[in-house]
Amino acid sequence: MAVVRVFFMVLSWLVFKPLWRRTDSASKSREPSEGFIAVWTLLAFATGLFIVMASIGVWIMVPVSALCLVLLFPWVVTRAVLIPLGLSRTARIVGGLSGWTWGRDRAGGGLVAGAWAILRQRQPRRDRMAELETVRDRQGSLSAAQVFATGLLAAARGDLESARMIINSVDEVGAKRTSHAVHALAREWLVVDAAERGAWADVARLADGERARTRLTRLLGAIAARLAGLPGARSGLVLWCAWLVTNHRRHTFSLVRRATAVSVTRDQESVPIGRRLETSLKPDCYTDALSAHVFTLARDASLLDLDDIARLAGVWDRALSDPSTHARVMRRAAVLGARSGDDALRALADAVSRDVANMARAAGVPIAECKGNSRVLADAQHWLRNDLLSEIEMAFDAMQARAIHKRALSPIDEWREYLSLRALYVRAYGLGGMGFRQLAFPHVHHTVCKLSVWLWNERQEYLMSNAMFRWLLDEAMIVGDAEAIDLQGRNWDSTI
Amino acid sequence: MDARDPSRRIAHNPFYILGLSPECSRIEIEREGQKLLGMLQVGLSAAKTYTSPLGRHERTSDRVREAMAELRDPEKRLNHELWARLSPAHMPNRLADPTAAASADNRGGDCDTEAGFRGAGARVGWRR
Repeated sequence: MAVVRVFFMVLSWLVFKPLWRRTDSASKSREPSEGFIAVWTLLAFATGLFIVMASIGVWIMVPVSALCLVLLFPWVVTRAVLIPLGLSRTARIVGGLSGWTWGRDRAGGGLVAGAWAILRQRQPRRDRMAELETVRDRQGSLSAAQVFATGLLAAARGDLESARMIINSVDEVGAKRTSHAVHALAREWLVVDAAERGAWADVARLADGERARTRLTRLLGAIAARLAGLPGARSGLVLWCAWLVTNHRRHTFSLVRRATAVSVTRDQESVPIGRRLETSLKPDCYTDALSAHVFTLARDASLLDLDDIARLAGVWDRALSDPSTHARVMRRAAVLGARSGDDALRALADAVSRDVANMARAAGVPIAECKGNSRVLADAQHWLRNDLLSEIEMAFDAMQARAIHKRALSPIDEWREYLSLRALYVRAYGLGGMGFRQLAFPHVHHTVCKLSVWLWNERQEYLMSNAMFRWLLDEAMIVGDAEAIDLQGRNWDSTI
Repeated sequence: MDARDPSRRIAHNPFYILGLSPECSRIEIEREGQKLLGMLQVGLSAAKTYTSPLGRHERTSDRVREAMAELRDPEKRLNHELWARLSPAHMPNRLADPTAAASADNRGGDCDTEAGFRGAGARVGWRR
């Protein structure tokens, strides 16, 4: 009887706490509806009664009580049984019953459960994925849970890059209206994915922040801070305490041990990078430059840095301004009967600066940050800026044309297209620097604003549209576009 | 030539395709070109590849004909000469870079256990 009393006390607290607490309309979306609470309460009392009857020998009440307990705590059953077994359809239906977990977006929560179950299948079933996508498309306006489920489906298909990009955007879609579970689980997936790749700095960054985090996320974040040697890393004792209260202790034990073995104040290890030594033994500086060019081409692009590119540009500056280079080209032009040696030299200089720009781009090196009086580097910056600007304009023009002609995509596909273009813009200014960012932003702003206004006014996609307004406002503040700041400041609704 | 790929200028330089030095005469170009076409026609393995400072590449009849055509034009020949000054055997040392292993994409199956949390997704229940 004491057990039953405790059960009803806990139940009352769970039921009446959300009703007592004053919440604004946005936060209400995170909590179950009053109708759900009422049904759940009745079911809970009935279950209590059934348990009491079962305890006094009415054995038929045992399976009835079990069924009622599943209906009362569907997320527990889904997470513990249905998802590990890969039963996606059942997981979607049962998981979608949990109003306490998903708030008012139980349908979205069901999608997350279904997609997660597909991830757990030995061979992810395409028919189940298609079924889940059909259910998602019928749900109407985009929600964060739908975005998360779509990301998990991309992961199930093996497209991890897309999955990361999509799941990274979960926090942007209706942050104040999304249940904590969606934020926490999305963050956990990202952290686990980064940990698997050994990207510990990313793990620490992802685990940080104000939003809800699972205990596993916090543990991995603390581990990552130690492994990456970040300031503010927790002590070993704190790490072990965090490990004790987290699930999957068996699997994270060796990782915690490895992290605690790392000294918190370790010095930055200098990583030896292969360098080509320049000598004066080459026949002439033109051959030296060509040799450096070949060497740089042959290296793994991911190992190139700003110094390598700048050094190559410097070597070419010397070669191209060397009188012996000019003399050789003129001589050969005369022998071959070419019209002009100057044309050949100009073509050579153009080719060199183009190559330097392409090498910098392949290596992700932001040569726009380089200042100096290197002619080759200045030309390479010019090529790179023009190429990037053309690409951005072409890509965003396609989106703009679609918005003008009202060629709608499904909500999730609108979001995916926006994320892809935004990633292109971010990669471009990563290479092109702040100057490029300020140059490209007006075009980006015009296109994305047009799309998001259409989504808001005519398609009632408020969460998605508001997320775009928010990003435009942040970006406008960074580049200092006063007009855009004013416009997006009026467009963006901070209560969503 | 694809302006986006810097290596093509060297790897597919006509002088390397024909195995000639930049100072060769027009007669040598024609002679060598015809010889290579004949060898490729009968399938001789010695003609199937050529070397540039960026490594070994496949030699095809189309590439040989294209190289000969490029070198017949004085303007184009001059441009190609400027990129063919290194001997084909001048291959840069591929340095045993200790950072190369750490830069590999750790996808939970191929990585060194020291780098990442191997199999994290499967261990904590995010996939099988």
